[in-house]
Amino acid sequence: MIYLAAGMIIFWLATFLFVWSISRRQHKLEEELSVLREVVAEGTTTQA
Amino acid sequence: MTASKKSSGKDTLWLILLALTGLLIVVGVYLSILWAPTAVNMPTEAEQLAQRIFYFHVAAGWVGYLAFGVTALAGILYLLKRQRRFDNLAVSSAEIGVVFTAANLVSGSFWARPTWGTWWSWDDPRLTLAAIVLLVYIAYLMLRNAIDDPERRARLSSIYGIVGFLSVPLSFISVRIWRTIHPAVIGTTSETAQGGFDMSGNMVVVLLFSIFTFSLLYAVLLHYRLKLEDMREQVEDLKMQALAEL
Repeated sequence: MIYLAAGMIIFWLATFLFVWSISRRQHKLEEELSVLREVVAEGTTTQA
Repeated sequence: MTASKKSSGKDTLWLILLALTGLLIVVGVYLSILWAPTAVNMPTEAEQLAQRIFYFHVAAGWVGYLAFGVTALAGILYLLKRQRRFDNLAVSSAEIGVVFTAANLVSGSFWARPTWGTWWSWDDPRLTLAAIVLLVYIAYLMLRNAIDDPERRARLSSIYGIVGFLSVPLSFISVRIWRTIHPAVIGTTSETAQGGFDMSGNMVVVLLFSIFTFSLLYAVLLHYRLKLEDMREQVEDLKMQALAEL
């Protein structure tokens, strides 16, 4: 029973961690995109 | 319908698919632990219980093979068309493949311990080749991280991904051509194979359900992982734009 339980816990934990990792990286990239868009917009305004 | 409405509609669909996949996973866990019949050919209760790992062990292995196949195909398409989206597809699929192949190996070890009396055997061709497949694609991801230029990175990793895929069918057929303790789930094994595997009808049902669910999980994860690559591309483009304006 312990092998089945341990195998399943580790398996689904790894899957969940991968999903969480994608979500965290997406959030970071969204923040970076937001900052870059502001920088580019300011740069465009300054040039104008 | 405006582009933004279409986009949010698609996002909703993928969220529904993600929720559905989660539900199917819960059903799959129930089926594999409580509904699937006991493997009565296993001599001890510990082995009979550990055998239930089989349903997600095989499904994870299938997703790994599928993911690396997609990586190889995307690599071919990139070399032919030189479009960035194929490279994005290749790396997204490879990352998912690494995760599920690692899960396949770890779950297999937890099944192997009570069944074979060992966590791992480097003498076994199937196990060794499966480990090689995992290392090949970990190296693929490391190679990509080492190259800054996007075009060069895409070109080299496409070639690597195509060549690396040769290890996948070799791993699959290893139980059929070499002496191994690992059972062949589909088809016949080598005459000198020590492992054997017979499935009842209900076992096949649970296995197919697991493979279907994991395939859906792969598709959903690929969608969200691809979005990451698209966002990375946008970040790179905006950085170039910001630098040009300085």
